[in-house]
Amino acid sequence: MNTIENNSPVYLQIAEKLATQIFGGKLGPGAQLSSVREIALSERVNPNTVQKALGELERDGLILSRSTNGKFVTEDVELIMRRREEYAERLTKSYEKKMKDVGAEITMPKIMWLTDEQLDVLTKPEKNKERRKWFF
Amino acid sequence: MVLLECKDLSKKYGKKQALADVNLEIPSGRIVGLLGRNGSGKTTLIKLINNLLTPTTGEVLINGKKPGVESKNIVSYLPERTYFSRNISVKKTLEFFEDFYKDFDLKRAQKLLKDLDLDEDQRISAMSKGMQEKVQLVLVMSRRAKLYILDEPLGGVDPATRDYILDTILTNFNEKASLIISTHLISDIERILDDVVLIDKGRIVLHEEADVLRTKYKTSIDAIFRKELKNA
Repeated sequence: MNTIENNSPVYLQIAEKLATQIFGGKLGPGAQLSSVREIALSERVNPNTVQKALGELERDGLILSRSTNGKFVTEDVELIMRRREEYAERLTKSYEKKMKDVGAEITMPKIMWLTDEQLDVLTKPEKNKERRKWFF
Repeated sequence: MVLLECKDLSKKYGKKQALADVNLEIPSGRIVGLLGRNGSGKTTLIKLINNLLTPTTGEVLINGKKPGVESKNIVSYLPERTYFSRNISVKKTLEFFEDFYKDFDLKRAQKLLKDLDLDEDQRISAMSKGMQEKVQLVLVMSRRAKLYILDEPLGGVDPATRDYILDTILTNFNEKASLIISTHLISDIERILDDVVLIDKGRIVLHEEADVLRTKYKTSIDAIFRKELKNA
C-alpha cells in the first residue's frame, strides 16, 4: 500500500498517498507540505511527477500554493471531510467489487457523516490534542 | 526549451539500416527512458548524439547546434563500455576529469565514491566490472551538465547499487537538465521516468509520457514494452 507500483500512473499514486495523509490527520489542516524535491527523493520518483501529483491535489482543493512559501494543506476542514468521504466511498466500492468477483456477498455499512462533536475536534486540533488521539 | 533535436536522422552500416527517419525532441527538465531490445538502435542513436558516428542522412542539434566541442561541454555521456586507462588510480582519473571538464564537481565525485565504498587509491585494473561501472557513473553524474546520456548504466551492478544510482540521479539532477537513460531493465527505473521513447528496428515506435502510457494501457511500462515488441 505504501510503496509505489509500476502498473498505474505514478502521479496518481503519489496524490493518493498525500491525500491519505491529509485525511488521516498526519498532515493536518494548514500544515506545510515537504518540498517537491524532498517528496521526490523519499518516494524515489521524478520531481515532475510529484509536481503533477500536487497539481491534482490543488485542483481538488486539498492543498493551496502560497506564493513562494510552498504548498499547504487547506484549512477548510469541511472540504477535507467531504473529500475523505468521497475517497472512502471509492475504496468501499472497489472492495465490494473485488468481493463480488470472488463470489462473496457482502454489504458494507455506509460511512457515517461526522458528528458536530467530531468536526469540533478536527477544527480545533490544539484544544483537542487528547481527543484527537482516540479519534484517529 | 528544446535541448536535443534529431531531424530525419538515419544511419546505415553498409547495407544495414541501423536507424531510420528518427525525429525526436527532448526539452529540458526531463528524464527520458530510451527503451528497446538488443540491436534496436539505442546505442547507434546515442553515438550519433555524441558525435561518435556521422549520420547517413539527417542531423542532430544540441541546444540548437551541431554536435562538436561545444556540445561536449554540456553533454555528459556514459558509454556502454568503460574507457578508462586501466593502469591508473581512481584519484588520477578524477584529476583527468577535472582537467577535461569545466563543469566537473570534484567534491561531489569524492562524496559519491565514498558513499559507494570505492577507494580512490585503487587502480582501475584492480576493480571488478561492477566497481568500474560505478566509478564511471560517479564521474559522469558529477558533471554539472545540461544533458546526461547514460547508455545501459545498470547492467552490471547489483540491485542495491541500482537503487543508490537512481537516488544519485534524482538527488544530483538539476531541474533544467535532461537525462536520457537507455536500458532494458525497465522495471527498475520506470518510476523515475517522465517520458518513454521506445525504439524498434531502428525506428521510434512510441514517444509518450510514462504516466499517460500507464493510464492508457492500465499497466506498467515494462509490460507495455513486452507487449508492444511482441506485436511488432
